[in-house]
Amino acid sequence: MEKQENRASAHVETKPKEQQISLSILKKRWLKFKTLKRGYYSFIILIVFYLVSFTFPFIFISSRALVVHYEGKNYFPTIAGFYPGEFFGEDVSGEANYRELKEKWKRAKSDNWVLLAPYEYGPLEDITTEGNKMFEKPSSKHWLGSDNTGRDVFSRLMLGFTISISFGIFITTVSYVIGVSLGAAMGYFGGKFDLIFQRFIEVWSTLPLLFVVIIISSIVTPNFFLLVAILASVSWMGMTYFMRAEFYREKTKDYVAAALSMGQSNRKIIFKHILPNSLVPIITYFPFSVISGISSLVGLDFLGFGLPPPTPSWGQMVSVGLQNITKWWMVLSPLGALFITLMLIVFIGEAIREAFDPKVFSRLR
Amino acid sequence: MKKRYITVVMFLMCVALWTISGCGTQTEQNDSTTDQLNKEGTESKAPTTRSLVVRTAETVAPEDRETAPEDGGYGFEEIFEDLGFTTYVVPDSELIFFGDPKAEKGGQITRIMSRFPATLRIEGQHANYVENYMFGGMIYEGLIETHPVTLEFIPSLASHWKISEDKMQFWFRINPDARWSDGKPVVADDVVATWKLHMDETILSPSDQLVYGKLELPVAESKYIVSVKCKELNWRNFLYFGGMYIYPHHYLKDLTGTDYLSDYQFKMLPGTGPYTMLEKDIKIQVSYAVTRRLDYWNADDPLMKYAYNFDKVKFVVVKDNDMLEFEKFKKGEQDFFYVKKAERWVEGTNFEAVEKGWVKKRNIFTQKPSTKYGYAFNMRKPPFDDKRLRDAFSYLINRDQMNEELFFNLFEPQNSLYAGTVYENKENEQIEFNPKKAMELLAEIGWKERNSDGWLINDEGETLRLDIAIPKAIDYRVTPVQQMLREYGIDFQIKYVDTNARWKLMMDRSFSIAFEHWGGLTFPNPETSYHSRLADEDNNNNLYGFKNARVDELCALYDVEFNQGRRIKIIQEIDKIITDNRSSFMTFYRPTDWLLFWDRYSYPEYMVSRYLNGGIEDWSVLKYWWFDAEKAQKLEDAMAKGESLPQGELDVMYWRNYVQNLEQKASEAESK
Amino acid sequence: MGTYFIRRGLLMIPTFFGATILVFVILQLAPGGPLEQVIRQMQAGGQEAGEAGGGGSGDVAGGDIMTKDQLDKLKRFYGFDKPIIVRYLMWLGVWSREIEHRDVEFEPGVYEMRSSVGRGNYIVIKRTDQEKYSIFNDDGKTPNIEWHAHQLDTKEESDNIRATYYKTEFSGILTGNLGKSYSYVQPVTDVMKPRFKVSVFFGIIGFLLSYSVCIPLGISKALRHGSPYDFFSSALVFMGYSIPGWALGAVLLMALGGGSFWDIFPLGGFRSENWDMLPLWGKIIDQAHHAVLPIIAYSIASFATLTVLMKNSLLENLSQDYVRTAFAKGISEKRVVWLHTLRNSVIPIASMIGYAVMILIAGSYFVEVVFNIDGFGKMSYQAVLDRDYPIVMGFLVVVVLLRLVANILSDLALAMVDPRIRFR
Repeated sequence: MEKQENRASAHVETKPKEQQISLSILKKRWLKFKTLKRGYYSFIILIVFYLVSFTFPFIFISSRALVVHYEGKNYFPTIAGFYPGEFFGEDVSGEANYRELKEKWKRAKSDNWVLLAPYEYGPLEDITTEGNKMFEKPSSKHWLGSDNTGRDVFSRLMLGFTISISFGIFITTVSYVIGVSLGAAMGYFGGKFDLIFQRFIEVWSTLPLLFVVIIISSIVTPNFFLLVAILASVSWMGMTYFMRAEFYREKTKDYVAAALSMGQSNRKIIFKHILPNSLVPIITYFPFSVISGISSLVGLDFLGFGLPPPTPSWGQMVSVGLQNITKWWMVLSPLGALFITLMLIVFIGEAIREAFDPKVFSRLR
Repeated sequence: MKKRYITVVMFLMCVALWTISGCGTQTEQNDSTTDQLNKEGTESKAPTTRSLVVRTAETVAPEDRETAPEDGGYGFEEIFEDLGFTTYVVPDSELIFFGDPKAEKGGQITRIMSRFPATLRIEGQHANYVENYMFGGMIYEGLIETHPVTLEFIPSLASHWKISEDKMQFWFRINPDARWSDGKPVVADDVVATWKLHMDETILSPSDQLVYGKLELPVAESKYIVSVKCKELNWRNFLYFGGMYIYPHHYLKDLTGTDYLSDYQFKMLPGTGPYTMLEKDIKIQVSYAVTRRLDYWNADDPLMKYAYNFDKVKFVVVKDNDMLEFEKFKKGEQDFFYVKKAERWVEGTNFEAVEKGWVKKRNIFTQKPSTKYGYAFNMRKPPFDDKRLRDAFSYLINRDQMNEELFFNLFEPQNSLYAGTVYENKENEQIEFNPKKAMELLAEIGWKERNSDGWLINDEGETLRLDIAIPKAIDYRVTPVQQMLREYGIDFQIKYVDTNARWKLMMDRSFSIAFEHWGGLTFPNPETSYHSRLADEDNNNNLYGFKNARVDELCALYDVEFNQGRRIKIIQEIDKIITDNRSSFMTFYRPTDWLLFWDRYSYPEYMVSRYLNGGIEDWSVLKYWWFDAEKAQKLEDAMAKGESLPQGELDVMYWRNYVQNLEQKASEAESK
Repeated sequence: MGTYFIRRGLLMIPTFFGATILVFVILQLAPGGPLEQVIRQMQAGGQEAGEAGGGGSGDVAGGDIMTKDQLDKLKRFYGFDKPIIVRYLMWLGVWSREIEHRDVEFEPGVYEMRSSVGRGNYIVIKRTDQEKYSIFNDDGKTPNIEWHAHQLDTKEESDNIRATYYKTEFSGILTGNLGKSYSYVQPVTDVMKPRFKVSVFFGIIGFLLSYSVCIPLGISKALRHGSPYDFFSSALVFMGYSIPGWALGAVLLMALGGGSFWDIFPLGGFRSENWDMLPLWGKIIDQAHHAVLPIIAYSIASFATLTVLMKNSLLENLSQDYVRTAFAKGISEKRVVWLHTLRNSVIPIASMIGYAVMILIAGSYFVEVVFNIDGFGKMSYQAVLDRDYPIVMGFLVVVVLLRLVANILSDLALAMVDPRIRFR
């Protein structure tokens, strides 16, 4: 089935004329990508879910209520934030407990009402909130059970998803910016410049990452962007190899010579002329880099060098799960989520690779 | 042509890889010539196991009838009182504390360790670990020991001792029967040589020089009598010196510290104790074992006769993997297991072997020194220089809730540095969860309002933020605290650091609040953590910057007080002052030991000793238990048939009852 | 070809120095070095993590406070009294290292002293008022060149003149000495050797296994591109790719290790303890028995990349003109695939050989902890936690060398499968 679609797209590709510029090449590739159903749907699912996941704390998963109707006025705690319990006439010292509030008003048949979030357990509330127990099995209350301090696994998983994907994307973007420009320069200029930076990369790749994290976290509390910066500082090197090779090859081609003879500046040649022709490795490897970004965060969190608690992170969940391996929901949930996410990204990556492959699959038998 | 060349290179590389990967049979075999002392023994009382015990000496030095009684030779026993010496004769009623007369020798027991020792020395660089003490105490002996129940001094290598009137000089008379494992007699020179080894700075263990530097060079007054003078008066000096494991001077005499470190890295000096470590049993990074000696000099002593019963005690290494350790216990690869986590004790011990009674489960009440577990405040700088904040912090943490929800109510809230021991001052404030009071205190300091995020702010609009650095392993104890504090508007930020970084932060005093966990001492020593002189210096255990003139005074008194009863009173007073000052907020302690073991062993009525003997909880099992062939047979049959064995009583209350009896007797005596 | 090796070798030199300097400097910045650990050991006594209670503790020990003098001596022992450049040069082995320090005190008016140098040997130290020291053998006449001495600052409380005597030696990486590990107290090479064997074992087995599975799998997938078989096998290998191998290993060990469920495999370890005593066949069986689960955990992630690489590369070749020509000439599909395209398709795979071997040898901390195996991964991670600088540096050297070997291996492999490639 897929084969025929490939053929079909091949026809599409061969038709337009040669003078079409790069943008339309991208368009063509996008069209081809769309025909690769597995990757395309994975892409749609992932992107939609990722974008929607930013709204989860406000509309879906929160221990705060969506709407509180109190003495004739409406309040929106998930958006507005902290309301002390006293504010709604509740006898608690801290934030209002909306679940209790709801019960209370329901029992009293008062005019006040609470609209809770569809999933009413937040990622941070633990045994210190009345009613939460540690190691609860999955149920209609806690879809994926609770963890070793009574926190809801499902809500942590969901919010951890946003963090994981964002981390992967950020780190990949940052390291690509560095890797692509340096790799391009190395390939384009060659010679001593290339030789020196090759050595530099060899040296830099021995950087003991854990030590860097230990040193930095002894001074400041590591946060999301700090970790992105640290990890990106070592992960940009892979891309340089590809770009260097691409540029080495491309710069010998006629169009570069033509551009040079027309007196174009180096910068222009690199970014305007060669780069668009060398996008293939960048885009093909992007999903896989996102995966390795996610995995490295999981690894760091697992070892205890990652995001500070109580951030819902998958690595932390995997490590707690493996410590309590008999509580199957704590093991399977983060591993399952990791698996599904990475799988989707892999499918996307596969499809991109295929869409960008200039050669049409054409077995002649 | 070229291609063939490449193939050859590839082939060579493969060969190289093959050889270095050790697929050949080469292993790190020990040099058997150095093993000449270790002759396999023939005798064994345990029919179910192969003979394991060994005879280590080829010839044993004959009894020395030449040394005069007043020089410590035979006959000294008749005249020791005239010379001012004393000893401790254990009354028959107490013999039970030294092992069960029903005990039989034989069998093997396996224990999993989480680390292979960096060295098999028990002195010098990198020898200051639990593992080293564990086997060290089975191979070597000190001059004296402490009574397992009363903590009084009892004979070991020294049969008698004397303390001068001013308590500044001690004499020990070495038992002329004592022999090294190579058969040579133990003499006063051994003690002198051992002290010298400790004082040699090139053994790279500075604490040795600190401890033993409190004494002058010991003097061998005769073949068997050794004396030592103290530089300062302190009751501990006797313990330090008397408890020092003695090494043979005929091995040490020409060695410098450097030589000692390199020569005895993974080789044992001959010892006097009931066990020896055979070179064939040392498998670096994998396992090690000690084997019982048939020619142990003191085997018939009533204090030793029923102790150290196993023919072989084996230590297998599983690194950093608690889960695998427990799995290995379940599979039977480890014979006993101390459960440390409440959750595992309650929910992880319902596997088949426990339910069928093949593995016994015991909850044992002891009186071991309690550890201190909690949050240390840095009182040198804001915000915790204000006692009100320290109090507020303490009132805001609902320990009862944590205990119930996380620890199945198995722990006790800790309100004393010495909770659960005789040193505890019962009048310490029993801190209860009291948010109202806490909020009042906070308001007094100036944290009154809450901002729109719910954090407390003061008049300048600053939020109340505290930072703590913790190791990842304990995050499940700290995040609930974080949530509790959040409830009351305190922003408690956690970050993970590794052990070394955390220690460095604490020692540089660059923390405002820190998680602390200290092991307990049988004989408390508050001075090192609370003396004023340490408060303003870095790199010591006074994390808090604690200063109190009365505590300093009491510490000085404590050091020169030789009466245990009065020492207890002093420590209790110190306990109250320190605890009331709230230099730290203590969380929980565990009043019992949780032990699982395969039902192959018998043990004295009390199962484990009253105090933490030698600082290691496993010690009691290795010392007083024995392999019970009958039980082992029963277990085997039951397992083969899938039958159940009776599980027996869970709680072992021996020491709790014992203490209650003592107290009752004391109050009766008082009322009379 | 000779020039090729020379070129490779020469390029290694700047990398080697750059990498070692970089890491050496970073190590110095990490909080809590070996000195702090000695202090911690002294102060904490038997401090040990546990959940409320438990853990070791002593009768009387713990809480000792180190004196300044002792601290200085420790610094001297670890070489921290020297500036960092000197320390680096010492590590290289081009600067002499002072070892076996020993202190003496001359009372005022005493100019000669006999002192022990261990194992019953003595030397005589003579001093002058100008702080000049000379060392003689025990006879007091023949000068001793092995030992050196210099004066130390006098202590406040006494008039004694303090001096230290020591040996010097050149020992460093260039003299073939990687130093002594802080935490194992053994020469670094002794620590690394057994672990290297373990890692090489797993590295090579894992490599052979993954190549022997992935190449045929990749081929069959390419030939049946788009079929359900292709889809499901893709799903399978990607599953392996996205679940961390060590996590899978932990689950498998729990299920099949015999502790809780089925007793099929041993509970971790590299081999049985009595391995030495087994007959050859028993040795092989035992080793294999222990290796199954760790190998799966080690190499499962590489399955996906290799398989996909093989598949894609074969697909690409099948669409080349020469294949078209071959088909046009009426050559059977079997022949085309096996004789013509396959050889070209393994080129990218072959170029990964070095890299794959290197990754596997470098080991995985996670897998090794899960299976209680002493390999490189655990060693290097533990060295980071313990701040065991000699091990970290030693491991770095191994990594740099391995990388060189890996590159050469890749090139050789490439040259073997692709006759067009020549060494420059």
